[in-house]
Amino acid sequence: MGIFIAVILYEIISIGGVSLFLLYRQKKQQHAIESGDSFITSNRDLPTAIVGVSMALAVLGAVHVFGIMEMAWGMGAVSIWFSIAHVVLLCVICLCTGRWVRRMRVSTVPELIQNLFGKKLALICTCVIAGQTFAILTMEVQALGIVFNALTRNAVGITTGAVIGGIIGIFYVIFAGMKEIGWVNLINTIVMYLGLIVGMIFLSGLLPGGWTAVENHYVSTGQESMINIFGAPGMFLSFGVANIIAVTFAQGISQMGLQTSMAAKNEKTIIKALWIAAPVNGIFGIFTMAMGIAAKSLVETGNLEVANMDVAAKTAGATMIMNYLPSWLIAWLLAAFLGAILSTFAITTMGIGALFSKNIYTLKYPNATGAEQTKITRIFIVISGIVAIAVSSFLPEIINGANWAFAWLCPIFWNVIYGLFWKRSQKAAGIVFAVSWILVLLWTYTPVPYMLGLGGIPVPFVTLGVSIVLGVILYATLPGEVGYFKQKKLDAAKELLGGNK
Amino acid sequence: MSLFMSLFLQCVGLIFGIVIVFQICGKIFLKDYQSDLEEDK
Repeated sequence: MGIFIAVILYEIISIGGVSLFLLYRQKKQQHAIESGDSFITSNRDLPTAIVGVSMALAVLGAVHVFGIMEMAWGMGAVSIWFSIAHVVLLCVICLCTGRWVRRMRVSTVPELIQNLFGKKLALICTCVIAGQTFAILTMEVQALGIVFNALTRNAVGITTGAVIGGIIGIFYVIFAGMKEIGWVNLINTIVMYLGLIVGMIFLSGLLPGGWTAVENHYVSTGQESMINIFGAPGMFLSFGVANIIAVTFAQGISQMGLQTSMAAKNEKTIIKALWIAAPVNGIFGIFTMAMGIAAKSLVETGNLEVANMDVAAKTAGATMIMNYLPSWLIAWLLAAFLGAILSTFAITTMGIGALFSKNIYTLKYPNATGAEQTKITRIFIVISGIVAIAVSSFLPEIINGANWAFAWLCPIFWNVIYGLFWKRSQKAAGIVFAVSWILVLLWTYTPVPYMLGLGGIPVPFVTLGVSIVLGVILYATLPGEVGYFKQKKLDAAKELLGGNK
Repeated sequence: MSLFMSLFLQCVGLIFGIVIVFQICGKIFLKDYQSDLEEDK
């Protein structure tokens, strides 16, 4: 229980300290709290370091912590490709989508859709993006419950843990919004990496026979592929490339992925932030992957006992940490994991709040003031947090859930690319969205894909295929306006010609 | 070199390699679509 109290205290001090400081500063500056943009996009003033760590932590959550450890049990070092996929995603956000939303000065992804395809499609996308963001949020809540359960060695149940985690998560964002998330993220990143480094140094020293024994075990049992980052033959393509596609084309246009870019000082800040975001996010997975590999070797060599071998993949990593490391370091490591999950919880609730205040509330109250929008955002942060806690215990496995949630956003990513650089066709976009989302529902709730012999195809690939094949055909044949950026370029050229005359 | 260090260095190399490739590709393919906003210059 001592570890549990220490971790809770750390969260209260770090979040409370940052919130009090920011509220004091806002009070001095007067204007800030009155503006909706201050809460949601931090008056678009976040510097490179904050943008970098916030982008990294926004997409570093439950799957990085528990999913990679679990996958490492089954497939070994190749599980790192889930993390590498997020590095590719951050490249796409920092060099493409993140810059474009910042340039267009939008506060939500549906505002971008509205600029490209009109109000109706923007409203439909608001509902889909809110749903997808909420799905991710519920998975983070589930993971928060698991961390608290591990911290207290089952004294606190997963459901109670989810409630405690959810309350802390709401405090992570509710006081000062995006600015608060950014600064708490910076503190968490430093504590998290110091914890991971110290934890790995201790673990390396305490492993029976060190890493050499782990390596020898896999080599002597014919499992060399477990310690190869490209895995067994075919694994890189079936797992690595599949993850890069699913993660990049979904999260590359998600509200939670782009929220930080919208709050960045300028485009240069976003480009520079990539040098921070990519390593902060990518390197985290190396630690959890290595822990997963070490835990499996310990179990197979009889140096670690797990209570139930049926769920060893899920529990071996956490059991190893609890059995091999000193109490103070367990607290530090779990606080690090908790920080990673809480940051994703915070940015997802903020995303949902922003979607409701900017895209739903303004439909009825188009003249809502900044202060009103901030109030609505706060209300929806609390509501989405509470509902996520309530439904999290009925959820499927974290990884399956993540892939399903990603599938919904693939068509939005591709239609945005078409709309920005090629053509803006409401009809084409509408048809691509409708077909993709109907297929997601068919894949999820009906046996139709199995009847067609397509049941083995993961649902993100289905929506990706539809977005590219059907998208290209429809945009090529249906009428529409010139792409948004293409139009801007043409306008600039005309202006230049006019000036020369 | 321990197994962990070997995996760590391979992955870090991969991460920075991907970032460098994307930065170069971004400069080549997106050079015609730079921001014209004053704050971005």
